[in-house]
Amino acid sequence: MGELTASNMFESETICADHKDLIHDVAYDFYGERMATCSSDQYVKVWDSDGRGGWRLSASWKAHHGSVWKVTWAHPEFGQVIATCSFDRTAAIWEEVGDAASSGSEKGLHTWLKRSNLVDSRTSVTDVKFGPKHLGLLLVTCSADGIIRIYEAPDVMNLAQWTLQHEIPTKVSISCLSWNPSLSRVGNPPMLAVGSDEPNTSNAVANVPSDKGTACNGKVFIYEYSETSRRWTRTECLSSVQEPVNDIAFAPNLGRSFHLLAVATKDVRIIKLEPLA
Amino acid sequence: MNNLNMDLVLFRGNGREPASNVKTFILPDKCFEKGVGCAWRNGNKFAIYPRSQTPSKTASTDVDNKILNIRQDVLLFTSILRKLVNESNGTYLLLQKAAETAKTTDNQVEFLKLSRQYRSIIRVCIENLQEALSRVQDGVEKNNLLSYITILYSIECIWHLCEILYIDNIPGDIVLPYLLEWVRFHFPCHEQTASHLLEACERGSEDHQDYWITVIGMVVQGRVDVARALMKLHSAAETNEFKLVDNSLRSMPVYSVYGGISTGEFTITWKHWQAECRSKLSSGVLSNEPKLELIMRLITGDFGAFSSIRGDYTSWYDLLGGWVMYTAPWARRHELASASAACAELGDALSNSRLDRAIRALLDGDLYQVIHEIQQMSDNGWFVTHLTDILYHCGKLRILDKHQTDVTNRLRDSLILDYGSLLMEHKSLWTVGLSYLASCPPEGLRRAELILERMPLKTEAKVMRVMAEAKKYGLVDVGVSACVCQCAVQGGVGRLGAGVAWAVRARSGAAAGRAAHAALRRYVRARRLPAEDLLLAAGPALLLHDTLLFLGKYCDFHRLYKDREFKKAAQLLVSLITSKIAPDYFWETLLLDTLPLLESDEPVFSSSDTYEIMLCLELKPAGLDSEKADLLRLALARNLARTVLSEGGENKQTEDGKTT
Repeated sequence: MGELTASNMFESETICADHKDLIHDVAYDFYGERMATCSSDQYVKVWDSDGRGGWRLSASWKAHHGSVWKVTWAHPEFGQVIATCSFDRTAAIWEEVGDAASSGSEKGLHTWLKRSNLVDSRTSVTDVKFGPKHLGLLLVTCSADGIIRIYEAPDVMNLAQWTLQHEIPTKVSISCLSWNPSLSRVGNPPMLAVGSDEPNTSNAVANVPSDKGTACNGKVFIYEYSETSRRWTRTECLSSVQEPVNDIAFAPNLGRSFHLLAVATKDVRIIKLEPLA
Repeated sequence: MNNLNMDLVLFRGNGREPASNVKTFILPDKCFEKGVGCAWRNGNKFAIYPRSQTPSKTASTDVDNKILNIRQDVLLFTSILRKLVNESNGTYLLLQKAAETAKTTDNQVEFLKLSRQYRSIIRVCIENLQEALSRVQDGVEKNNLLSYITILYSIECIWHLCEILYIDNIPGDIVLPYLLEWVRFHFPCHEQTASHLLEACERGSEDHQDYWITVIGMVVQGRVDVARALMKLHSAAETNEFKLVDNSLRSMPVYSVYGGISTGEFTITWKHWQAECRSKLSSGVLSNEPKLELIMRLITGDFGAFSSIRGDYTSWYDLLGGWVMYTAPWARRHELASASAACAELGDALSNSRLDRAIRALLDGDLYQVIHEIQQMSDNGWFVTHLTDILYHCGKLRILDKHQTDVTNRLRDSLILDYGSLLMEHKSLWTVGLSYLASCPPEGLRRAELILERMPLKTEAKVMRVMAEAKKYGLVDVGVSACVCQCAVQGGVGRLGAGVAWAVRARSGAAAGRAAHAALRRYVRARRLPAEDLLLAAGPALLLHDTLLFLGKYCDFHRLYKDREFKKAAQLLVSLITSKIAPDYFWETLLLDTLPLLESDEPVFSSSDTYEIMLCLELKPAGLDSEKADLLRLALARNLARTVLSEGGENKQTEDGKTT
């Protein structure tokens, strides 16, 4: 039998990102047809798939006055919009402008305009993510001083106007966060998972009392929004994760009764979260 | 995801054979020194990039930032295999229907028919590949085609055996004739030589170098008649030794379910016959004819004899039919395990290929192992998905997990979901993939929804296609979302009319409002209205959103004005002003639109209309700058003057009525 086993069937292709410093994040758009990269060189680049496996640089601009940690795409219903966050303590919302005619202009570079600058944080903004589409146009940021901020654009036509809806102090340095993409109409309240990169030194153990009054020294926290109290509260602390967290991501919900959360520390762990009935 | 290990490993399958299932990429180490990040794209595509959480203290000049895009190379997407994918999809869907009816009636015959249909699809595909192979010159391409052919051959071989053992309805469960048929069909060695020799029909055929190997081949394939005919062509065919062997072969009892004797009786006759053969053998009459002796030893089921010819065959299952025939011809389907074990041990050439293991497992009745083996094949799960599905529907599959719970349907569903999701990655096979996902509710539909809404919508035709498919499976939200995204795309590139059209198609109030606002803002800026004909014909769709309704009515006002129906235009304009649904930024435009009408020769606004406009003008001081406001006030006052006079007595009377 042709032992052309499955393992031979992955192909790789290299793109030279041409950032002048370390890359911190790579994010694909909703369709996987565009790719945004950001780097310590303070630049953000957008790449478009040519449909034949190649990528073409379509925009590159200096986005911040410090390392750009993360870049993330909004749902395409809101247009071509990305958000970035940086060591310069800000997060920014960018929109691609230009019409069909100018896309064929020289060099073929597109223009991204800064629509809003979110300056509430007093420390480095470590992660930024748009909320699930069904919740409207929401944005969450987290910062090194452990504050999670949730913003909303009340008018999706106006990306310049963002109101700070919630400020949730966590008292530990937060490095990454992820929205639970599950639809809230099937009984899942809006949910966020955040990961802390607080180092495990003996006296700086993340020993934060949760809302239930019990201490927890885990590094991953789950927050849920309660419609009745209109507040985000910490509902879970995953004590199984003790190492500083580098990245965190919810799996898409395939109609399962539970949620899956991937947590990257020194290794990668998949955690199953079962909502209480 | 920090990973200081420089090798990236991808795990697939259940990890029973990690060594062969792991693809290792060596990352260019210099740029990945600090750590590695990973981002999923869609389907089986993702990116690996060097990443560090901490900013470098010194701006290094020698950064070599490379992003590695990794994707699965899917064999099924090769154009020559597309027919296989499409046609098997048709059979799969028929099978689901058959399974539905099988819930009430026994439908085994239908399943067998569909199983054969699958096999004939594979056959056709092999033929196409062979034809293509004869045309290509390129060495790499040739190798690819050859490996596809090997894979499909193996698939067909396993499928056929599986059909015999699990799907077919075998009379009396006596499997031997089917097994022989399977061996002859898949391992047709010597057949050509035999037919050449028989055609030539010459005495002394033993001079042909393959004479004996062919005769013995016919014996172990159970073609006793052919073997006898060939032996007649031997120059010594008239000797006693030949006659003795011929006689033994001729007198071999053959079991038939419809033969009127019971298995028990048959067994006795058969054992008697074999004992006779053995006694002939031990009498030593054949000691001068080693080949004839070998034949006699074979038909008495002598392990040593089978072992001695194993080297002439590529695999042990070439000999399986003969072994069963000469050791236990009454074997039933589930009694083949010992035969397969015996055959596998023949000779010293221990072969342990995937096909070997799959066939062993099949004969042992270990379907779990069969599925495990074929899951590792490089056909992207085509085989395992379809075979598991048909076995599941035939009720022949029962898989237990380690807690002894029946996970059969979960296994079947998960294979179908994976296969369907894989096909959805392809730019034209996605509709096929969708049909697999839809056959596995509820999870399949949820997956379909997630993948479908991420389908790149590069052309309008594609959007329509996605919407039609979404509608077919009741995924309303996907259709709506596709339209709303399209609305955003068109709006983003300034094609506001198209934006409005997509919003209307989506029946989305929010999107309609957004598109209408964009259109009105542009009108304020550039005095250009989008897609007027569309808006005039939109009818009840305008009710989606106040702003859209306003935009539609405003277009209508322009039409009336252009058609010089000033009276009607004025009425509409007044109603637009008094209804106060115009957005703030549009007030100026709306109020100034009254100017030319106020100045017309014939008054078109009544005095009460004029009062209303005056009221709005004063209530919206921010709407107009003072110069324009004064101009408008003057025009309004003049209009009031002439209308009050011309409207005359009737109005006066009502005025009086009010004051008294």
